[in-house]
Amino acid sequence: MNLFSTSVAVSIIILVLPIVASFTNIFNSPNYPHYVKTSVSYAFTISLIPTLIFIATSQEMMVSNWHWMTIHTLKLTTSFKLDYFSMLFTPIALFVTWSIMEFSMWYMHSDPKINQFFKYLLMFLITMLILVTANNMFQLFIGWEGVGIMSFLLIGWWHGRTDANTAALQAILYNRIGDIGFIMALAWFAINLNTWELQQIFILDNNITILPLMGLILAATGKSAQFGLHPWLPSAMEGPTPVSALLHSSTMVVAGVFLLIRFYPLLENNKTAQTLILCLGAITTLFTALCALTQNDIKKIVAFSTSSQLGLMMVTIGINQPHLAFLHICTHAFFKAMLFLCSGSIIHSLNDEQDIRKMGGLYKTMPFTASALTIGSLALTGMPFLTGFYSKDLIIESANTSNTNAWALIITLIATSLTAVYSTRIIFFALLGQPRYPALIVINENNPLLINSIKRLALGSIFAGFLISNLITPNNVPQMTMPLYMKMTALFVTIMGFTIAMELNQLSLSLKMTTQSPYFNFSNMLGFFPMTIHRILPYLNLSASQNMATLLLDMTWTEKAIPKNISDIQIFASTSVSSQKGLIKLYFLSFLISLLLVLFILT
Amino acid sequence: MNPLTLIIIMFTLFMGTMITVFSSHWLTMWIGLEMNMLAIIPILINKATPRSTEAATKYFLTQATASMILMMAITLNILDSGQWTLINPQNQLTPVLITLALIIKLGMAPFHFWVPEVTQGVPLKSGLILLTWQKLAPLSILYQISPSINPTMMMSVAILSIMVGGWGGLNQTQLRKILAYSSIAHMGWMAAIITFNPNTMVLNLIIYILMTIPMFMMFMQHSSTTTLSLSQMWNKNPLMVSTILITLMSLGGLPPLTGFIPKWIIIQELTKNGNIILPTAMAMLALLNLYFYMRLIYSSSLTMFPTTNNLKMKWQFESTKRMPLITPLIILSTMLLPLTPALSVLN
Amino acid sequence: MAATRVGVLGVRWLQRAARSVMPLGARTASHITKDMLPGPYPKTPEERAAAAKKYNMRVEDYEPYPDDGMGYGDYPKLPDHSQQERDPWYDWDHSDLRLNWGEPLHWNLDMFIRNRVDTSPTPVSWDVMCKHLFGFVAFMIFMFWLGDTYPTYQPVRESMTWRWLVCLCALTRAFLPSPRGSMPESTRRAGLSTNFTSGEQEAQCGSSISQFWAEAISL
Repeated sequence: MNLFSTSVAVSIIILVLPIVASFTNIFNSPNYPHYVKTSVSYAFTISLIPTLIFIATSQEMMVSNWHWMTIHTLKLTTSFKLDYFSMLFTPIALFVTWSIMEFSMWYMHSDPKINQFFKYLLMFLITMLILVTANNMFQLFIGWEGVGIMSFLLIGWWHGRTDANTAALQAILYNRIGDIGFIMALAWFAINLNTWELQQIFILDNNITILPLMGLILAATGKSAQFGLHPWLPSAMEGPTPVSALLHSSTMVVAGVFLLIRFYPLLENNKTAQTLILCLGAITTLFTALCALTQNDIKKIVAFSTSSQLGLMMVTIGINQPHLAFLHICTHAFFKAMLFLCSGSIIHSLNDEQDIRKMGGLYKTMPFTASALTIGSLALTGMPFLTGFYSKDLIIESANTSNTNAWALIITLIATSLTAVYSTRIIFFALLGQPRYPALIVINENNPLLINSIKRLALGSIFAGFLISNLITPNNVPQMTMPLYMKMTALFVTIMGFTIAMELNQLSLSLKMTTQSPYFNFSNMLGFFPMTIHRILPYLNLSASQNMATLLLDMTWTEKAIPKNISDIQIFASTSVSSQKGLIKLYFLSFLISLLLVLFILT
Repeated sequence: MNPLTLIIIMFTLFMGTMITVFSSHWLTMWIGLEMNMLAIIPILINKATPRSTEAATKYFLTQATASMILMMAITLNILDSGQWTLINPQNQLTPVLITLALIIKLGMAPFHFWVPEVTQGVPLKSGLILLTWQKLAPLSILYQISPSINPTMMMSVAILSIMVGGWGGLNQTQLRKILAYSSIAHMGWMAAIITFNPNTMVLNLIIYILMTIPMFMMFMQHSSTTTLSLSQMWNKNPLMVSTILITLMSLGGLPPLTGFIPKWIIIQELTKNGNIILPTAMAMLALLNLYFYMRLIYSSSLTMFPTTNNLKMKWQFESTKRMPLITPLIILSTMLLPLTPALSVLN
Repeated sequence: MAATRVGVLGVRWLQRAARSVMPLGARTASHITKDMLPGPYPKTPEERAAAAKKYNMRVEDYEPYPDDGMGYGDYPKLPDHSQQERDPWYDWDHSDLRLNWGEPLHWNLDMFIRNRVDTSPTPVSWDVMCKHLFGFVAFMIFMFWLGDTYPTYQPVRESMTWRWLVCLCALTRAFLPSPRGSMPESTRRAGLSTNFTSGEQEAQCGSSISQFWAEAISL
């Protein structure tokens, strides 16, 4: 018996069970979070079976069992694509979510609606898995929208706060912009190819026009917070820390990149689309890295680093290495989740303090979190033989040796260097030096829920890259030969970043800036992007509407043309008809004229 | 007025119309019209105020002029055909003159000027007779000579009357004037159909009378002659406010009510005769009438104007005027629409 | 008994219906009257004073829109400030809109309510922000265009200095057992038809060890 599809089905059923149970009395039980967490861990274990089968035999599978409906000639089926991407991503997502849920049981334990929170987290995960395993664009779209709506609910979890509501709305609105692109691509495929099945799309047309690809790129820009549609990502830090961890590691934000990876057979033949993706990714990775440099909120720094890494993934797709981008998604999930959990641990211990200027010296008080944070940061920067190294190094090498856009390559390298700078900044300010937090704070990190979850992810951050890159079949030909300086580029820029950051941080301890540097303002105020764009666009749009629609059309033309015109005519006619003075002589004169006229005309 | 005089006058009024309706001799027909006109003068002048005297004078002058023109047409007819019988005149001039004389008597445009002024000058009861009973005799003659009426002229008169009726009424706040203009407009509708289907004209006349009588009676009940006094009727008789609402709607010709029947059938009849533009214009001009009826409705029943009267209860004594007919008339003037299928006999 | 009950209920219903048809309180016609709508553009000082009074403003504050035929009439031209800028702690009559009763409204108030355009002051001036952001984006686009015109390409055989290390690396990879399973068709296609990775290098990887040696020695 082939365990492949069976075990996938079992793990999905196990995941759905807590959702079903939430309609029963179990939902009121204080053990519900525990059930959810356990379900996820079981689902993870079982999902390893098909993954191992896949690794062993390279077996891929497509399950297509329920014919949903047929609209004219467009057939919609529920079908699952269990291929390279979904088979590798599913266990990783489940593993990361398992740890995050365990962490949430500690982090959210005092929340009155913790059960609902877990249900939301689980639904978030399930929609992401639907997205990953979808074999047709319709199903993909369901997962896509599901991820969007769940992120809205979760970011706005503390809906009593205005900021949380604003952030949630911002996230859903920016995602709607991306959805326009997705729906445009859907419509294009339905009209021109008459199918939404991925295989059929790939078989039918490999040289399609730029239009649907632009739609897909727009969709990915919205979902993966690429430059232009990125402001929602740092704002989403208003949500609870576990939500940020889940959002940034294995769900939601990687969905956009994943969409482009799914559609790489279409992208790889279109040079324009690739150039666009490359430039978009490069500007994103640099811009967000710049923004991360001067942030003081620990979660914002980590959020911007995610954005920067997403830009890097886009760059990778832009140089036509989708499998490498996928590898980066997989490795990134581990250490990014862990970085968020570590900041969650710090924030919770310091009594909801997020400002890194008010931390310091935590390596003494929170040794475990400090070491995990350091491991995560090093993995993020691409420290050799940690997880990040296996994907990041390859990406930089591929970019270096490609015949590619020079500026994109340069700013990607700069952004890689900046990764080291802001990671150092977190470590330096939060962990090293003297404590700068109020004295009376009970710091502990002895809860097994906290320790175990971070520990698992720390192990993942150390070994996952090695395991994944060793176990899977390389789909792309790796770079065999290159000059040494090129091989060392990634390492060199990272070390340079570290060094500069250490020097600058040391300097900043004794240096007081008297004037505000414009560069500092640019970086600290997120490149002025949200502030200007969020004002300019509504202003232009609303004033144009006010002038064109309200003033010109409603109040002037449509008013004057019909209602005022009719009323004027009626008033004129009415006054001229009924303005009689009661003079019988005039009446008879008019009678006489009328009589004569009639007789003259008719006889 | 002396009851004996009243009886004689009323009887003369009645007999005048009857003689006109029943005779087939031009002279008796003319005599009937004259009797009718002479009998209505004392009724109009009832209160003997300068205003009603003026109204009666104006009425007398126009009606006398119309009678003279009619007499001239009859004379011409005798000279032409040599007989007094009411047969359809064969020449061009006579029917045009007869029609014009009757149009003056009916007060259609462009001979409408006297109607609002006379109606405004006389008491409500006299106005009621003026706008209903007085239309019977001339219309019966028109009905009988309808085959020889010049359709072009009649149509022009019709559309002109509807316009005048609509626009004239827009500018009024006096209830009697509004009803006078409404009468002009309805006469226009009747004129429009008379050359195509005289029976429909009769139907329109009947329904117009049915709707006008309860309107007048309701005004008489409260002696209200202005919109202002109408707008305070909620204080005295709230139920009648809503009755006014529905009767005015019917007068305007809104579908589920009786007033819709004539408009429906007239438009249908005109359309059947290949006449499209005219009924369209008529229907649109009927909106003007509907508009000022709606304004009456608005000020009487849909809103409450600020008033000095701060007592929200009924404070006047019950009206001593007894009008037993008002209820069946209101029912007739609003709920006859289901009888429409019975009107297929009109063809 | 039932009949009585039905009767009582019916009478009550009638009373309620009558009450709702004929409310006991007086309603007023609460429409905007013509004198409340913007009038013609004020030309004389007296007209200005009258208009200012009409809009509940002082004469010195009152400044109408320019009379350029846009139909603003005598409506006051208020500064373009959003409601978000107003003091959140003040006891506004309408706290949600941050407005007081009788206060003159901006002509485009719809645009400046709190969840629309925000004009509150920023640490950095508006011009500077716009200049920096759009300058950055324009610079990036220009540089991308430049970079696209002159792409980078690093030829492998540039320098002989580190040649031995390159050979060593290549040898290590060559002697390692090749990963099991063949490459899927689509993937190989992806590798070969790529635009950006250089085809030259990839052609080498499939070559056998002896060829490689020959090539390395010949260099």
